[in-house]
Formats: sequence, C-alpha cells, structure tokens
Amino acid sequence: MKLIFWLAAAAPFAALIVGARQPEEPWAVLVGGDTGGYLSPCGCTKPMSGGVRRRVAAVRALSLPGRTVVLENGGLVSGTTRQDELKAEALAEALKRMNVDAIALGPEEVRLGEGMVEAIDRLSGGKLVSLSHKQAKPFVVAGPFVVTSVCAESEPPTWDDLPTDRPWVVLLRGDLAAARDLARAQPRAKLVVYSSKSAAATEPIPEGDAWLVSPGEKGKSMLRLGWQAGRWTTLHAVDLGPDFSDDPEAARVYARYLARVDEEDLLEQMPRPSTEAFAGTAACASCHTHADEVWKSSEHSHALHTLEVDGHDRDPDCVGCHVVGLDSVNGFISRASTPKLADVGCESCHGSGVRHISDPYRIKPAGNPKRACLNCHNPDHSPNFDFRTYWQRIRH
Amino acid sequence: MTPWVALLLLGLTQPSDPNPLAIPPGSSQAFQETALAALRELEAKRYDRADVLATRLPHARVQVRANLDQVPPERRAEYQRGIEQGWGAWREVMPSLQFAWVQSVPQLLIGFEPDLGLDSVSGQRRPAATFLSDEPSEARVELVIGLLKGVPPQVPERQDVMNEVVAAIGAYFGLPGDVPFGLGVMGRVQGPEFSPRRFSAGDVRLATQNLAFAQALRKAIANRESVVVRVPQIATDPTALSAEPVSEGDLIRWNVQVTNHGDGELVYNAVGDCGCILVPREPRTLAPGETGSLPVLANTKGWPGPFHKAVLLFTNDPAVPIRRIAIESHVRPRFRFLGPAIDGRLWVDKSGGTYTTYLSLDQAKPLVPEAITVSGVAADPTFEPWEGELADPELGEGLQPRVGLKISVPLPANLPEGEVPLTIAVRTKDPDFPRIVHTVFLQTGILPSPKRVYFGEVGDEPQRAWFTLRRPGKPFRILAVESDTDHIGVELGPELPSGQRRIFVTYDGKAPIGDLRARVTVRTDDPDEPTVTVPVLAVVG
Repeated sequence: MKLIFWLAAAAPFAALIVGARQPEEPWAVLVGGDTGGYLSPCGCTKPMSGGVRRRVAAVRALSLPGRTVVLENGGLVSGTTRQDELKAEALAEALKRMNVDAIALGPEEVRLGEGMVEAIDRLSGGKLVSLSHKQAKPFVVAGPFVVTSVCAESEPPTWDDLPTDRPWVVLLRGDLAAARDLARAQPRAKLVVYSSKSAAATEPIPEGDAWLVSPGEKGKSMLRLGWQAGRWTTLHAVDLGPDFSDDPEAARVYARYLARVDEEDLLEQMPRPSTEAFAGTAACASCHTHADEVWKSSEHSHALHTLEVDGHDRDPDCVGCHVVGLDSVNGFISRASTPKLADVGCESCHGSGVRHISDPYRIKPAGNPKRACLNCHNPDHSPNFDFRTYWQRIRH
Repeated sequence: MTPWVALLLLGLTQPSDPNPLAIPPGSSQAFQETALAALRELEAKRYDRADVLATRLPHARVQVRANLDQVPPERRAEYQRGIEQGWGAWREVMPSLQFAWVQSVPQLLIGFEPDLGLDSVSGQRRPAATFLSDEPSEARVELVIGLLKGVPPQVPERQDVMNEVVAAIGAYFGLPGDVPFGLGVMGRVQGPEFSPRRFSAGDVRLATQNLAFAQALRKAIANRESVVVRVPQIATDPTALSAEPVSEGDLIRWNVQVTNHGDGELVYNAVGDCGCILVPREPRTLAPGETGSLPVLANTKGWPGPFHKAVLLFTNDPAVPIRRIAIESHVRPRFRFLGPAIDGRLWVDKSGGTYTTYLSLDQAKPLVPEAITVSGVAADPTFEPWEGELADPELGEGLQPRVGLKISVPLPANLPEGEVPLTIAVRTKDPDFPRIVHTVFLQTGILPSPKRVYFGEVGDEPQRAWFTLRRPGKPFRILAVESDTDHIGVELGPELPSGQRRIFVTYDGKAPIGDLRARVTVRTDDPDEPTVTVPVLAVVG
C-alpha cells in the first residue's frame, strides 16, 4: 500500500509540519516592512494584497504561542505630508496590536521629524530600534535573538554594545548589496532583513551563516521564518490576500485613521495647479448621447460611489482616480459642491471640454484618452489592465 | 523540496499532437506520482496495473462516504450540511461534477476524530488531515476532521467542515496542497477566525485539466495505446538579464533562449515578479532538443533608479521546478526637481524672497518644456537653461553634473502662517510626460511636530507624549504652555542642544469613555506669532 500523508493545515506551515521533531523548541519569526504608506490594498483588480488589517490577522494566525518574534523593517511611509504622519501613527498602533518586538527606525521615519519619531515609538509601545539614529534604543532582546537596525546610508555604527550571548537579527534600511556587506562584516548576524522594491523573497539568500531576506514592498506580503536548534529551518512568503480576514482591532485603528483624514480635511488641502476649467460629464451628454449611455452602464459612472461605500471618499490617496480633476484648482472638491465632477467622467480621459463646447466643430478636446488610462490603470493598482480588453467595456 | 516541486510535469512522446497524456503543469506531487506510475505501466503494456492506478485519478462523478459516529448527535446534521456545501462549492465552479453518497468504498471518505492535537513546530491545533492512497481497497482521499480547532480549543463550525471538504476535493483533483502565496482554494491559512476558501481561476483550470488528463489516460489504457515516458530538462541562456542604463519610460526587451535537453516534452509558465515585467502568459512547450525564445519586456515608467526584477519560470523539469532569471538595469529618471527644499519643505522669511529649484533633465532623452505655471502663491516664475553639479539624495546619487532649467519663483511677502503649498507645473511636448509637477511646502510660521498630539487608544493608565516647535532661522522663546482640559496636562521641557524644546503632554487616565479632545496653547515672545495651538486627541476605551 502506498500512503501519502498530506496535512490540510495552514499552507505556510506545511513545510514545517512534515519536518521531524527537533530537540529544541522552535521559534517563528514574522517579518514585515516597507509598507510605504499602503495601509490598505488599493486597486480595481481583485483580489489585491496587503493592508494592515490583514497583516495583524496574519500575525495572529501565524504565531507560535509564546515563541514568536514579530519584526518590522521600517519604511512605514514614503513621504512627509500630514497624511504620511497620520499613516505612520496608524501603522504604529497596528504594529502594537500585533505585539511587534522591534521596528527599524529608518530615514523615512526620521524625515517626519523628531516629534513624529516619538509618536511612532510611543504608539507602538516603545519598539523603535536603531544603531544609526540616537532617537531609538540601540537593540532589543526578543526571544532567542538580539534585534537591532542600521541604515545603509548612515555612518557605520558601533556594534560593540550589542550582547554577544545570542544571535543577531539586523533590520537593514538598505538593499541586497548592503545586506551582503553587512553579513560579511558582522558574522554574529544570522538574519539580515533588507529593503526591496520587488516581491517578497520566497527563498533565502545565504551569506555565510546568515540568511538575507526581504518582505517585499508596499506591505503586500510578510515573511514567516522558522528557527530551531540554532539555525533557520524554513522561510515562507505569505501573501496578504483576501484569505486573511480583517482583524477587528486593526480594522478599528484603520477606521479611525480614515476618520482623522476626513476630520483634518486633507482632501481640501491637496496642492492643485491651475488648469482649464471642466465642463462636467452632463455637458457632454447633450450631444454625445451614445457615449453617455455607454458611460452610464460602465463602472466609471459610479467610481466615487465605490469609495463612499468603503469609507475612502475623503482619502486623497484614492479619490484622484475616482473623480474629474482632483489635481486642478478647477476640479473636483466634493460631491456636494462639484457634483458634475464626481466619478470618472468624460474629461478624466479626454481633458477639459470647455473650449470644445464653445466651438465643437473646430476645437477638439486636448487630452490623449488612450494614454490617460494608464494614469490610474497602472501596474500597481490595475495589474491585469490590457487596453484592448478594457476598451471593449467602454467602447464609445 | 520546495512547495513548487508540485509543478512537476513529465512529458511524453506520443504519435498525436497535442498530447492529451501530458501531465498538466501545477498538479500535486501525489497526482503526478500516480499518473506517472500509471503511464509507466501502460508503457510496459501492463494494462491491468495501469488501469488500477488510473482509476485512482479523478472522475467527474465523485463518490463520498462520511462517518459521523464520533460527532456529537446534535451536530451531525450541521456537519453533513457542511460536507454537502463543500461539494456544492465545487459544483458552482465546475458544474459538470457530480457528487453522490455511497456506502461502498468511496473516492472521498470523511471521518472525524476528537482532537488531532497540536503540531510540535507550528504550535497550532491540526484542524484536519488528508491521506491519499493508491490502494484499491481504500478511499482515494481520506479526510479526517478534528472536533476541536484552534488554541484555545473551539468547536468547529459548519463552515470549517465545508472548508476542509473543499480542500480535500481539491486534493482529489490534484491541486497542490502547499501553494506558496496563500491564494486559491488550497491556500487558506488556519487561524483563530473563520476564513472561507476561495477559488482562483488557476484552481478551476488545473482541476479541469487533471480531470481531462485522467479521462484521456483511462481511454488510452482501454484502447491499449502505446506510450513512451520521457523526462524534460530545462536550460536558459542567459541565466540573468541585464541592460545598460535606460531612460525612464523606455521599454527594455530581451529574448531568453530556453532549451530542452531532456527526452520528454518541456512545459513551462513564465511569470514576472512585477506588473512592469511582461512575458507571454500562456504555457510554452518545447520538444526534446528544441530551443525556443521567450520574449521579456520591461516597462520602466515609474521605476527611476536601480531596477532589480525577475522572471520566474515554473517548469516541469523535476530538477528545476522554478528557474529564476534576475533582471538588472538602471533607469535614468526623465526629470528631477532638485533644490534647497528639505523633505519637501522650505522655511521662508515673512518678507518673501525667491524660491529656486533646478529641473534636471535626462540628456539622453530630454523633455522640452513649453510653459511653466505656478499655483499656491501669486507669482510669475522665470526660467533659464542651467548646468551644474547637484546631488539627488532621494535616489542615493552624490554630486554629479546635471543639465536642465533653473526655475525661480518670487515669493510674496506676508505669506499665511503655517505651510503653504507652492506647485510648479511644467508642460512638455512629450506624450508620456505631458505635465510634470513639483510641490514644495513653504513654512513661514512656527510649526509643531507632530502637528497634532495623538495618544491613540488609552485606558486608565496615565500616558505621556511630547511635541516640538520649530522655525529654523528665526529663533523664538517659549514663555508659557497651558491646556484647556482637566485631563490633559502640559509641561515645558528643558532646552535641547538643537535649540528645540519639548512640550510634554500628559493624560491623567481619568477621562470618561469616548474621544477626549483638548487644545494645548504655547505662548511665545514673538509679537507676530504670540500663540501656537496644538490639538490633542485621545480615544478613551
């Protein structure tokens, strides 16, 4: 008889489960990072991956009770606007809820200012670490590891104060090449987490005794590593897809973040260059009746509603691709004050129609509609976009 | 062994083409082992043995038997309903499937055990176990569901039973059990909360292909067809892709030569690890000894700086289930605004002045500015050709020669206190970059950092936070600090070496449940800006 044992348990555990029992207790190390302000999956192609609500749920699901180290490799946000500050605070709150052990303090956080660094540290439960920046503690002891962080761009740090009685985990604000250099120079480092603008590492890159790994960018994935008997045993890149339910506590944090974005009127404060005025979709419909019918049956015609349903209709990150002219002083402000510019309308793709309306036979709209698609249907937000396929849905 | 070894696909030489007896890519190792064993028996003309093995492979009509003896009587009907919902989920995506209860040896046997225990490594309670057998006297798939789940233990719900049945049927149809990215019907993670399994298009496609393969194999055995089993072997040239630096927006094209050095048909799927990498989506096949060309296209728009990507080939070469082809290049940005602003901010005097920024243009493909406008402040910009050396810290570039435009914006006096966004928009003739925009925040007054003090969720423990005030280039003194709310205290900290002073804000832990809002007022010695107000928010729970 040939019997194949196949365990229907957690997919990321599968490689662990079939392993033989080892003498020392195993530890799980969960690694995220380079969220870059992507607190929520964003896009019009489902399912999208990522988001802090799923990530907290994933940490809860993938933890070993009492034997888990949770690490965040920094890069919480990518900019320095007020919305970035709110994002950093919300992410710090979410990290606290996933019992994070250490957060790398990197240049992205430092650029937000000293007060914001304090806020991130406080809201995360005092978890910032860095050998490169004095605003954070130099290291923490977490489970069997000493955890610290360094910035590749900064002056080389002093490593002398790090305890040597246990292996080091280094959160590096730097790329793979810098990670290799670090692992060679610091043989006590058994894990170097580096920053990458690519997908999460599905396989570790060995450098001496160390593993070099990256959780990828935009918080789409996290890593789960197994550690046992003084060595790494497994690495899984866990895609934060819709199979993870939103964590209720993290969902509350995220809802409060959206409420603060709304309360501080960040949408109204967006920089807006001056451009031509917009006529509004209804003005086009009087002549272009067929196009109007097509538009009304398309998803473009209720693009803003999709945001209103899930509470993102005051979020500057989202609204720009769901209305006409958010980046213009003459563009969308709110559904109440500029109703004719709500949703993705004619002028989203064709450009301002004001002059065309004044002299329709001689003046054509200046926009390049085919190219305009790519402003929103870019690889990040609409990875399956194909002009010929999508055009059939709105052919007019 | 990596999870994706399940992509193993062994090619066959067959007189007809396309080959209906090629094991579909992506199928589980168990499916492949049984399928390969059956094929080898067919090759050896041992038709009875081949038939026994082929019978173990999927059928469109699935016979199911469940043993609910261990289930508490009050839950039996609920769990039986969960089983039927599990096969109902499959029928929704594959309507040709039929499921039927039987009392004889079934293809899917479902049982329950009181507790499957904790896994020693994961620490999680095993929710279920699935066994696959090639033994004719046993069910092809046996699913054992634990009557406890999670840590601490809970009683499984009907949906949990449905989930496990869905996965067991997936195993029956040859879906791999340990997919790497957690998506698809086999990739649900067992956590403390219920999370329904969701079908991906790939699940349905693979199950359909495996069923078709099984049917074709059984037909071939019945017809006593002759087959020869062969194994493919992949090689790629080059093994990594690189390109000289390109301009942002340029397309980079490569052709990877893929050769099959084995004696079986090679099938592989190519996938980019980024939406900016385009490769043919459909599976490609190569005959033994054949070399094919795989076009790879990288769209560099939106990726200035170092460009590190990869193409993954999922192959049916058992020795190389995944071939990773690294992509390396450097993307020169078409334009960069470089200048005195630090992190997008510039401190300016109330008397006005001039904001100067340098528009560095990629000389290999220079944009041609047509007009420059400014918004945010009332000003007419001027610009002139410029050449010089500047660093670009954001892209990690030190001082280096650059060419472009020097743009100057006269700033009016008495800008509003706080931050004013100044936006410079440059219209160009390039259809890919018709308008390029640069925004800098002009700070004139004293600004707090952070702009609001946020405690987050607080309980009945006192909490302390702090903020700083900053106005580089124009020092000021803090005379007093005060709060307008009893539960929020405020205290001035000592002067720091940087000249800044921290203002400590404390919450006493005694406010009623709900949002606690306060305002901290800082009094300064600057007659133009005698007070600075900072809002405070704590969510008392």
